[in-house]
Amino acid sequence: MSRMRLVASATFFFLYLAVQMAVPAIQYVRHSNTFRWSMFAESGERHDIFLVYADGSRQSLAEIRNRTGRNRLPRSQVNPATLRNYLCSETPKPVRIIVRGVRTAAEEQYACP
Amino acid sequence: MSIREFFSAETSARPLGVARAVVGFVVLLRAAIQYHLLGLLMSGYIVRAKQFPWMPDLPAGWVPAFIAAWMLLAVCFAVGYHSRLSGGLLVAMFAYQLALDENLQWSNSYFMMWIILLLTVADSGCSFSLDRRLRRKDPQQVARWSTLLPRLQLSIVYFYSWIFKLNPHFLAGESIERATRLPGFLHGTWLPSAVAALTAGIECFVSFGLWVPSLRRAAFVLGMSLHTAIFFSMDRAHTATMFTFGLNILAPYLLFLEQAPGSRLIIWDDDCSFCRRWIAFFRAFDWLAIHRFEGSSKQDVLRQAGVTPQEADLELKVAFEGRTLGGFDAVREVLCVLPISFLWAPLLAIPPIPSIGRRLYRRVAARRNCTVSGAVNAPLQAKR
Repeated sequence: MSRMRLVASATFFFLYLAVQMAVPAIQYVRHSNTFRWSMFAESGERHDIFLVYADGSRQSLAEIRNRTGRNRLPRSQVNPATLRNYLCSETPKPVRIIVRGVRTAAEEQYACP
Repeated sequence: MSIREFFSAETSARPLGVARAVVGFVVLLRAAIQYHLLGLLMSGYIVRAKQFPWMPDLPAGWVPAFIAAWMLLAVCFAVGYHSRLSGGLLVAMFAYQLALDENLQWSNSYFMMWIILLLTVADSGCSFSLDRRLRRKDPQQVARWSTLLPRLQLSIVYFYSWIFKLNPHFLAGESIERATRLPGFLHGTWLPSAVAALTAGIECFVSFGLWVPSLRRAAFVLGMSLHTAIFFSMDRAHTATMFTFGLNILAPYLLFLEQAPGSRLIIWDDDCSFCRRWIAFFRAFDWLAIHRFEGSSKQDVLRQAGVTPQEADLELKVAFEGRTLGGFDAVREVLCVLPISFLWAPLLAIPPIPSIGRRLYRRVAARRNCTVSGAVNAPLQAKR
């Protein structure tokens, strides 16, 4: 085996393992639900998401989904921080998005631009 | 073993080739799920969740073309036609759709991407492939380290899955109640938490047990049982996904069958037409070429295995690692290393199956029909 091939093989082998060991741990620390093999582990917080309109009324994403079939999310645990930007461009346009933890009931509010 | 020796060591490419065929087939099935998800995403019917806003969407109407290319590449990968090219392109397609939107970041397609990458890097097209039939003449050997990575990947998945399940919510059975078809009247009983604990325990055991030769067969059975149970018990919304995921994660188990080609000797009564049918079955499914098949009429083979002609005529024999097994135990041992049966065959060692199996084997062996000199069908007793 040539030295070049040996170095390339060893680099790939150890780099690959390092990435595979590190990524799930990093994602866990970042509270992200993706790329960490959690597999229905329920370890992360789940969220209820509400859209608040200019007249003060609010609707949960689940209500909109059940009524219209719209806003279906193929994944149930999409990161709310990513999602909220897209929810702000919904029609009718909401003025605020509320993300509430299912277990903790802690609320975070985001004003739509 | 030095680093140079570790990275220079070679092993049979056959398990990799068979795993590649299974994974290619799974990717082909996965195309239907992906078509549904991508179609949904591009329809504007769902709320997008792009992590990388600069990542371009597929142009309107391109989803069918994307999926057609996906299917074509999956077929090429499964049959082993330009495996490195088809595998590389499949990895790129998986990476694109994983990066496209958080809605598509499922663990099962993420896992699929890594396994395809590893099978591609490991040159899985070296064996069990159209390329082998058409043009490749090199030995069916690959670098051993490249077969270690898919196995380590498997253990890493089970390990993290186990670790993340060690939380009060999962162990209380919340996930079991929410994601499975467990009847409502059983919610809140001890059963969901017992199932949760069992699931986590199996994942822990499989993660480490696959690496311990004495525990490996138990890990095969438990891994297969876990994924079968997941498939049958999960909510209907997950059935198709869990079926492809189950097949995909079980495929790399094959790489733990480390028996070298030709390392096991099967001695069978070559005067017996009934035995010939069994041997034809074993031969047809011995995709890893682990066995050498020799008739009991070959005296030198019998001497080499330490088997008398009478013993060889009485029952099938398998000789390996200094041991010789006969009858039902030999059949079980053969099934334990065939790709179609290695996951469940260890169950045949659980009492009282061996004693029943041995009795059944002796009865069938005594009544089998034999073709002597290719002309006469006669019961074994008449032959003796």
